[in-house]
Amino acid sequence: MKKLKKITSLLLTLAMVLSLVSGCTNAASTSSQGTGAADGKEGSSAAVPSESKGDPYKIAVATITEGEIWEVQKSYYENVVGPALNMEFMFSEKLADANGLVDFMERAYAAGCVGLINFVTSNDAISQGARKAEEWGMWFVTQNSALNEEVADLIYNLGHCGASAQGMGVAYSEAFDNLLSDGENHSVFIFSGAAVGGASGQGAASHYYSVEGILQAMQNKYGLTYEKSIDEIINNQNPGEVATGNSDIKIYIYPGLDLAAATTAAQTQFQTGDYDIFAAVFSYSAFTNALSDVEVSLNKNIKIVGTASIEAQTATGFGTIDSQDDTMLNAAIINPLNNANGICSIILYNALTGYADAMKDNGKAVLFKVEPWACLNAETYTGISQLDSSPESYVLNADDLQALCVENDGSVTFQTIEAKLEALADVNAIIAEKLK
Amino acid sequence: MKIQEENPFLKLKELARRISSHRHFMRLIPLLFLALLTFFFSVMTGGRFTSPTSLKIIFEQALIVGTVSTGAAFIFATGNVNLAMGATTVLTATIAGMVYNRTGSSAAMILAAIALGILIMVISALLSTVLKVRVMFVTIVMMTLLSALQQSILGGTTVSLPHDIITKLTQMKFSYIVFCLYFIVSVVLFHFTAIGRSQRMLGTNSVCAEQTGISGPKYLVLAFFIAGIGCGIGALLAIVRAGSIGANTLTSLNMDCMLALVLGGMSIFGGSRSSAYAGIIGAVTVCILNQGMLMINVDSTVIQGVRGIIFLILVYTSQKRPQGLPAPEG
Amino acid sequence: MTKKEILLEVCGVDKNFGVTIALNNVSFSLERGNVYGLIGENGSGKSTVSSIIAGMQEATRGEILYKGETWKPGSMLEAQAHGIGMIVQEAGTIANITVAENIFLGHEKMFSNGPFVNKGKLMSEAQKLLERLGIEGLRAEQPTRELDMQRRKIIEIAKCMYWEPDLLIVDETSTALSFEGREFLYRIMKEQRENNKCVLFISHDLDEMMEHCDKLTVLRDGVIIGTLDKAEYEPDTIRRMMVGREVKGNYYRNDFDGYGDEVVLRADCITTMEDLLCFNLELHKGEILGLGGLSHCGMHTVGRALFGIEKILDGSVTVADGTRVKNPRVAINHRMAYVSKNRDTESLGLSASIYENIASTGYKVNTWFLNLISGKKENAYVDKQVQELSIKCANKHYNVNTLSGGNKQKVVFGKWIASDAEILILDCPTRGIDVGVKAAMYQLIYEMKKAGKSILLISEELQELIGMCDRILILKDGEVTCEKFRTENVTEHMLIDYMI
Repeated sequence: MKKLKKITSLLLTLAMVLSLVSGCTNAASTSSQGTGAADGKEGSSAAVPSESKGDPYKIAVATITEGEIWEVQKSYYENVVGPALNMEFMFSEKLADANGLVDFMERAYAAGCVGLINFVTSNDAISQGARKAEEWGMWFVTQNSALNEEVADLIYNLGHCGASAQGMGVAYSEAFDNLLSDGENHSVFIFSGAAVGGASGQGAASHYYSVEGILQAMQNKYGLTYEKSIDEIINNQNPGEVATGNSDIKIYIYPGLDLAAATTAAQTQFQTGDYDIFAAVFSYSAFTNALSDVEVSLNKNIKIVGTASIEAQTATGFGTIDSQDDTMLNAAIINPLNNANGICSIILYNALTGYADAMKDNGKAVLFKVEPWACLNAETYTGISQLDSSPESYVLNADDLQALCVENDGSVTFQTIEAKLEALADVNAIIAEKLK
Repeated sequence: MKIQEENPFLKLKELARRISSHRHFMRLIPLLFLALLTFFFSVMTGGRFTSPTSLKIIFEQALIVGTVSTGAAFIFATGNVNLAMGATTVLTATIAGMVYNRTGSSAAMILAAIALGILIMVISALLSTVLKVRVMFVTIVMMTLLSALQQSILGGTTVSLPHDIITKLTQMKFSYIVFCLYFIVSVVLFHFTAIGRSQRMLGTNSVCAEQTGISGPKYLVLAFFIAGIGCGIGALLAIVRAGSIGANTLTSLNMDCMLALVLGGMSIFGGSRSSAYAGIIGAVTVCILNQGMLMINVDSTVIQGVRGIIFLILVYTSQKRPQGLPAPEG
Repeated sequence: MTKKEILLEVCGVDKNFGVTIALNNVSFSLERGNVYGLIGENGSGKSTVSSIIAGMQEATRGEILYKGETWKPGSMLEAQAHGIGMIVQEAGTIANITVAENIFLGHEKMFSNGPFVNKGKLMSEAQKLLERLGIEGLRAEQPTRELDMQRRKIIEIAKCMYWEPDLLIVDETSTALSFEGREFLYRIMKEQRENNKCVLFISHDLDEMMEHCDKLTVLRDGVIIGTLDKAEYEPDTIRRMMVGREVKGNYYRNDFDGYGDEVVLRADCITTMEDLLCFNLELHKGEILGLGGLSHCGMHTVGRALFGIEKILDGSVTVADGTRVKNPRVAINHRMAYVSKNRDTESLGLSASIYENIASTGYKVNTWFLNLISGKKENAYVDKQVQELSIKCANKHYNVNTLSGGNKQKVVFGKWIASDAEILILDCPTRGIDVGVKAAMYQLIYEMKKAGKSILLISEELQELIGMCDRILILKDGEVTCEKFRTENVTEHMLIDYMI
């Protein structure tokens, strides 16, 4: 027993030391890539950024994801934003709710963070987080595509930055224009969460505009006459066919967020042979297997359009040739996450350097809209996937970021940033510029 | 000569042995660990970790889990596990929040929360004792039932309380006051009255307890009653802390409470090695780990692993039962 | 006496169970043509040594020579094949098969053709054996479940005798047998002797041992105390050797004081789910009432029913003031106490401390104000028992499971004595306790009687009942078959016939 205790206490100490070491090495590795001055007391270490700005700003990042996509974003923060804006980032674990956000904020505050980038998008989380931040005087930015008006007037709430819902509509419309341009008749099955409220509050707006974009594209191409208004069609909570006034062109909308039920419905509808385009206004990946089964059994090509991220799965989608000698994924609407990450950091930086007012519209938080990219073919995707992978290819590199600092250019306001975001809408132009 | 050299060491060893075989030693392990962690993080952060703000934050974060798990300790002590503590707290918080929004009275909200917490828990206990179904099975059903109920009440919305009342309650240190009251009463009931003693005896050996005149059902209902108050208070603390209750609020509360109890040195089998303060010690330990590791800049992906390892070690050491030396025959 | 051939020799055998030493340097030898007796208190090691010889377990150290060669059987079957057969203490028959199948249990291969057992051959072989042994009233094809305990024991004897063992070990078998059964066993033993074979007879019935054994070896606490020839037999000497000191006079009580007329506990025609049908019992003030019988006779149920643990379907248990005892709480409120036969699982919280166990009966009395428990009073409550019962522990805060059986039982007694119980139901209170503590227990029980407390002593050991009780009730199938008052001439034999 005595011996056992001794051993356990030894083990315990060992674990502590290990955790310490892993903590330090980790911090050291990030800081060497980053600002070089991870902590106040390590401030004397070398590699201070070119224009010495003293201690780095500690910024907390409250994330709701983990995995591949998140790691890419983390690396952007640490390797590009950090050195460019003299910032040091402290990332949360995957958070679930308002409570988790507030807990993390408190810890971050105690750890000396002066600003926070929040990914937790429920309204109560934004309200609570913004209020907490206000209490402490911690600058607060949220990545969301709708503005929480409740806290928009708080001093420390710097606003929201997220994928533009209308932009999603434009992108889907563009994707459909492209798909329908082959001169044949196409019928589409749409899976949308627009008609249901609830947890994915943010989704709803972008879903709405996405479906709208598709319906309008179909209408323009085939001269359809919808019996009901587009608004009514989008908000219909029951699955079913949309009366198009053209028996050759069918549109089926499956509203909801239940992937399993939607998969079954899609399979049933596609088995009729009436449809040949599948559009999910959010993740399409759950449907690919079911649809390729249908393709094989009907010997008919089905085109898939969906929302995607820059990740292996999307590359597979564009890279896989299905049974009909076509790519599995035919068009993807991609939200350039790092554009939002860069802009959020800029806003924080400007506030931290004393120019918070310039980031606000008459004292009110601004909703910055990141334009999504419509990726219409595998070639474009290859280009997109090469962005943000090396110092030269970052869409918003150190120079871009510094150009948006009021400190460097007194004329910069929130409108300058909005204009910059709009300029980033054309993905082909970006690829041409960054991957020369 | 050699013997003389060894003497101080032997004395020390003897002292260590006497300390480690003392009956309170095992109980102190979680507390010692807590102190060790605090010291460690304090050194690592150059004292920032032990700044008043930092300590206040740690304690505030531990309050909800600390309260609910203090109540749960009474149930654990009887050798039972309640898996519906979290669901009870969240449903109570939802309804109490709605009561405030209807009446505008914080007194009504407080009463509603405590009454509802007690009601749900006592119903669970009665279901178990009357139907003679094991507590764990009843609470599994209750857990599902209560969260379904909460979801249907909320229906995708959140219950939000006006910001001013939350600020008011926060300013009057409402959370601290109710926690302290509940905690003190719990410790007294648990350690200095027949209630806690009987519950621990039930957890040690329910047959023996019955044959010693301790009524299993009575003390189980009592344990749930006290835990119900804890859920009610936990619900209030959650409201005050968050200001709103939604579908995703405190979803991991139940697991957090069980973890806190175990980390606080509570035996997972209940019985004589139970204590009313295990919950808060465990909850504070978790918060210290989270905060400390963030402050010394441990990567978020590494945090999970380190935390897991430390939990394992702590559970291993504290769950070891003190054996003592076998007494000679006769 | 001429020198006979040595059949088996035990040389310096030790057996440890963890830290417990069951046998310590045990040596003896068995010669052909003799019946040897091995006598000792429970736990003295007599069953351990016999089970080592019969291949049920291995010795920790030492050697056994059998027919001049080293003897280390791997199993009972192996021992049987080499001529050592053992009739065991516990019931060794299976209820759902026939007598013949029980006799050849484990040896079905002898009658098999490939995978099939030739039942006819098995039956006839078994029938032949029964006839050879002169067993009447048993047929080979009879299902065992139809038989009573005594006949099942006889099957075991037959099973053992089929192999015509050179050494027959009889372990505590006679207690379960009636007169005829015993006679049969004695005859078998006698035949062994006449056939120049050998018997090792284990029993704690002194009379029986003295009558049938040629030599008696006394074991105490795993050590051989001595071996006596038939000429040296003298009951008090043997008893002294068994217990280790002069036991006459203070082992059991030796008075014949009566008891009061007042009935303190009454069972009025109680019926339970099993065992009892309209059972009556009266316990008087200051009485030690003994309840004896075979293990499943219902006596343990009586104890549980009286304390309100066993559900009573009909009839009632009442205390002196007429209150019905419906559950243990009512019983305890009327100052009753119950010591279960299953001490570790029912009467103690093993993972709790001595302190917590004893204090568990005093939550209501050890208070200061507002029902808060007073540590001072509680400490005194516990300390008193630890001292008075001389519970041997390093610290009262040690867990009960670190104690020996005797001390554990003292803790159980302690918690009830502390609660000042007036009616004590003691179910096998001395089971698994070594002799020294046993004597202390008897002394304690007797003192409680003298203090006017009433005691119901349920025991499977008749000696204990005879030694301690004012009145003995023998139960069989849930009914009282015999009531004996305390006199000098009550013997085990007189009671056994009522048990079976």
